[in-house]
Amino acid sequence: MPVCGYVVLPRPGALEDAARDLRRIEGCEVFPAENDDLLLLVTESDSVQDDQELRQRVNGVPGIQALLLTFGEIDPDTPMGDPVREARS
Amino acid sequence: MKRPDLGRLLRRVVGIAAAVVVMVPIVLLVLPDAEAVPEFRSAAVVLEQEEGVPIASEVGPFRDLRENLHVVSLGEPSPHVVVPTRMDRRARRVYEGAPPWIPHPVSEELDRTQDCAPCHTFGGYNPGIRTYSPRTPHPEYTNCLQCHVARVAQELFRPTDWVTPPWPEYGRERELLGAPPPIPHTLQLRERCLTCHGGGSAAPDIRTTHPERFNCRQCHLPLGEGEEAFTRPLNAGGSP
Amino acid sequence: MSVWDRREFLRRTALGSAAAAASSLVPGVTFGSEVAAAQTQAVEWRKAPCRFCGTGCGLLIGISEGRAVGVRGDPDSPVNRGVCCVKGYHSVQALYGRDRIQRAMVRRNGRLVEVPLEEALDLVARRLRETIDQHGKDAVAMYGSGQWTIPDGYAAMKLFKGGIGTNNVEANARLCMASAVTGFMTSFGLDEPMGCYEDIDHADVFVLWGNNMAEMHPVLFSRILERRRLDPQVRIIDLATRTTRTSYASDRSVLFQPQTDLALANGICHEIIRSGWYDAGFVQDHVSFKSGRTRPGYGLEERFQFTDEPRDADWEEYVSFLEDYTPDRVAELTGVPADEIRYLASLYGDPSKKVVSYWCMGVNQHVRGTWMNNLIYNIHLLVGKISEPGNGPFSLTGQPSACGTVREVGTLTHALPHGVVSDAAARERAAEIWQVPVDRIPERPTHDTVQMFRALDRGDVRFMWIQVTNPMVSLPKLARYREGALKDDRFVVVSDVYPTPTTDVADVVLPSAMWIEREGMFGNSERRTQHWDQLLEPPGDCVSDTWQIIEVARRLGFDDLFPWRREDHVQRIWEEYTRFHDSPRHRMGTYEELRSRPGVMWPVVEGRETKWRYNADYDPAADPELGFDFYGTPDHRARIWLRPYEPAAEEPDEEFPFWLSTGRVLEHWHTGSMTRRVPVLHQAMPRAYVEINVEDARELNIRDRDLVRLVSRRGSMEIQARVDYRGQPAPGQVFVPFFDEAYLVNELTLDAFCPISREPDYKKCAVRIEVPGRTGSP
Repeated sequence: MPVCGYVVLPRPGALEDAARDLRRIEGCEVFPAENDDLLLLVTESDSVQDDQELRQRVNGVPGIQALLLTFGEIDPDTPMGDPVREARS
Repeated sequence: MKRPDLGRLLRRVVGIAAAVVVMVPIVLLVLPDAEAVPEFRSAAVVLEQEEGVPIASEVGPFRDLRENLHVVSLGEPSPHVVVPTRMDRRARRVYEGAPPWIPHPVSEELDRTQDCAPCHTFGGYNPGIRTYSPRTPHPEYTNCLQCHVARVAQELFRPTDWVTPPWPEYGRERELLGAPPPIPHTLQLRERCLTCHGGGSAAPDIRTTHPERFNCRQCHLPLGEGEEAFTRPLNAGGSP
Repeated sequence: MSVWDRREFLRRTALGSAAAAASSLVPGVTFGSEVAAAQTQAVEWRKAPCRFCGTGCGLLIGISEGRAVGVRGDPDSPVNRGVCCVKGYHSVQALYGRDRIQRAMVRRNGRLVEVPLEEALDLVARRLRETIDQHGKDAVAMYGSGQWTIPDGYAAMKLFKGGIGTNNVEANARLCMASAVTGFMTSFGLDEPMGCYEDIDHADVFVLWGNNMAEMHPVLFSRILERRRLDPQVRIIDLATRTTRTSYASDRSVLFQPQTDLALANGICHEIIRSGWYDAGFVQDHVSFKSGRTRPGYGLEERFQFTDEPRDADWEEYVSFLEDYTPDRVAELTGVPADEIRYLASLYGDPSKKVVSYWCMGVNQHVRGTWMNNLIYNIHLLVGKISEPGNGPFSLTGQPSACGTVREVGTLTHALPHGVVSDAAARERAAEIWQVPVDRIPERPTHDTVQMFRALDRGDVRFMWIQVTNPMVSLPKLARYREGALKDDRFVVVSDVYPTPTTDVADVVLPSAMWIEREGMFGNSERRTQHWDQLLEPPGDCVSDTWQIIEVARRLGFDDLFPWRREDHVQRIWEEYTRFHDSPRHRMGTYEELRSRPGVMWPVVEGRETKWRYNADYDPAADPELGFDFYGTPDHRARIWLRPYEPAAEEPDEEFPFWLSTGRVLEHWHTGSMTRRVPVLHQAMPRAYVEINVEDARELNIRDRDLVRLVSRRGSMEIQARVDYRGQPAPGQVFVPFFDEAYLVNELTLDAFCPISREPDYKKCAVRIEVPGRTGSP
């Protein structure tokens, strides 16, 4: 069950449109800044595949200039490998 | 607050875009991508030094406990030294402040003798694993495996609903530009800053630029936990 | 939001991290109130004792958004001074295994099915009542553990001994420190250590008797290592049957043959007396001599009975008793060189050195466990090194509240919250506090743990309620007791937090709130009682074991015994319970003191803890005229016991040529039902193994990680061999840790026990090693 957090930087003047478009995507929650042209976005989906599709739809929103992923968590069962050891083996 | 214009903001974003990956990275990324294995984002550090000659700027963490210079051979220089980033190191702790697990194999003999000191008392380049051993921040503790354990299996006994909370962000409190950043983590059992912030084993993204200045906490202060800013009511304790 | 809602927690974490990132891009940017709340996610650090061993480390648990998020060692705790072990640091993960039992379950047609909690409690009460009506009150039993909080144990005692009127209350601490209790009671007349962990800061010599402290009490071992670092003259001596991490960290490793520690201790005393190193004045003023029955047997017979018959002895008799234990003879028996025995005697005997002895399961899980405890006290009494800073024998415990609950509340068949059931005055006091007729409390003890499970097998016990423990992994000679529990017309109720082999035999499973999901108190090895508040909401229908007992008690009509409200019942129980201990020899801290301090060491006199009992300099209950006042005995003297060496119940022979010892490993605690659900711990130690000596392995042509079969007279199992691994058994010995339910080593162990303490010997039985696929056993 992937849950992700993003900072969304809209194109100049496109804040309202980007927020509206994002809100229409199921699984998206939008939190506009009170004093700036910024949005926070939290996405929730049921599977890794759903999450990828959701992210493609987010990427397709025309009013978005940049999208920063700040948090992502898939399944707690997935064991975390050790990058250093794996890189050497 | 004065609202910054978007152009300036975007220039700043571009300006720090490269740095964002390493400088502001923001919690662990277990990327929900197809190749769902955690991303390996280590930086390579190339030693430009003749064999056996320590790099001057790396000498700091290799001082012994009496702070006398302890000359350490950096050993066989390798063009492929891989130093884990801060994010790699985070992946070895269950939460901020948890003892990290041991990322290298532990031999049966080492498991019995706990003779970790040769590599970790002073730290230094370790040709066997082609990277730097970090110096322990608490060499006075010698029952090492009491807290640090190796990982010999990948699977879990049963699934878990544990959630690793976000790590503290550095820079977040740095609202005064140019001011030295505060220490975003606790210092318990981590009082020796250069373990993580200096020397060859330090993650490049948190390596100090000025290891020669030993008195770290002269400028970098720990963030208080939940303390309210000091205020003093105007008429408190006044004359009768 | 529901605090158990992991998804909501993730969502808020994602939002908080996005907001933090935005703030670093645009300092001062603000969002709505929900974002602000998610962004602050303040972590609150609250105190609690560690859930695991008897050391009783003080922890600070980070709580955020209704979930535990981290652990720090409490720098204010005098126990661990800010350091934990890997289990403590990751203990909070044990709360979040996905297979937590969250609903009550009842077995129907062989399968456990979820039912409403009220329905399960009704069923438990009904079966309890029916069993009493049909088979008598001694046909129902409660089996708890040293992980019971103090209120849990107290509620169980009050219901069974004060309400129902049966002494059928036992706890798994019988399996781990009953010998320590009988050792203390026979030598001093009062239970629990005279000293405290602060002894470590003052001692010059540490003698560890069969105690792998580096793994089992790592935080205390680190304190010892720290002491040696500060003073390089300090010596650590490891007396053991197996070479371990502790041996490697010690200054001297002394290996003895299993069971011969009895001879070694007497040999040390022989040498102390021969060399004139004993403290004649101390012995004259503070010691009396006793001897008891010899050859008491091993408890293997059904309905075993034994009562020791102590009789007075004297110095001359003691000296003549020790004549059998010359260094040469002891060397022959133990395998310890005579010079080594003299060296050990010289360490104890040197008046300029302060000596602490530590022990735990090696001494207690011993068919002569009580004797072995007595013999270590003999050494300290002989040289007068006891009850003062840096000098003393110190019996460690393995469970967080073996002392606090089982020993102090007395959750054993013979005991009461103060005193024993066979003592009329103690029964009267209990009846007065409980406000029940005194004849409701039977004066005869019923079954100790092993015999209680034998009674369940026979049918003398028909209903058993098991809380916070996993006997279907931990009992010796396991197969018999599992089959007994599964018999028709046996009703087994299990209160636990995860499915275990014990829930597999349950007819009803009750979902328990774990550790910091409820309020409670533990008492650690050094008489320190530690309180914690409820820090989290328990998941699902989980409720504390205390409240489960109260709910069932009320269904049985004992409302008047349990009049407490849910909100403050822990405080009310504490206030009632401590009335039992209201004297300068026992007084516990008040509820307020417990809440505000990182543990309080009893006896508490006028708000002050007692660090060294029986010493008038530190203990207000001791008579200043005497200096040392062993006030637990009628003559105010401690006992030196004449206890001989006797062989183990089962020793290796031609058919079964190896000693089998069982025990723990650093990463796992007890039967692993909690620690195996902690990813770091399971991944570090995923499965059990058998350690085989290098030379034995070579002779048997066994290589490291080969699969072998261990066979005893009781059972057999296939398991991976480890040669030259973390522990190195001596030739002729093997070791298997017992945490892994997939490798039930207790199918092989023997249920022989110490006749005085009734504690089984998990450290000694005979096995052979077979290599599957090879013809014939080696």
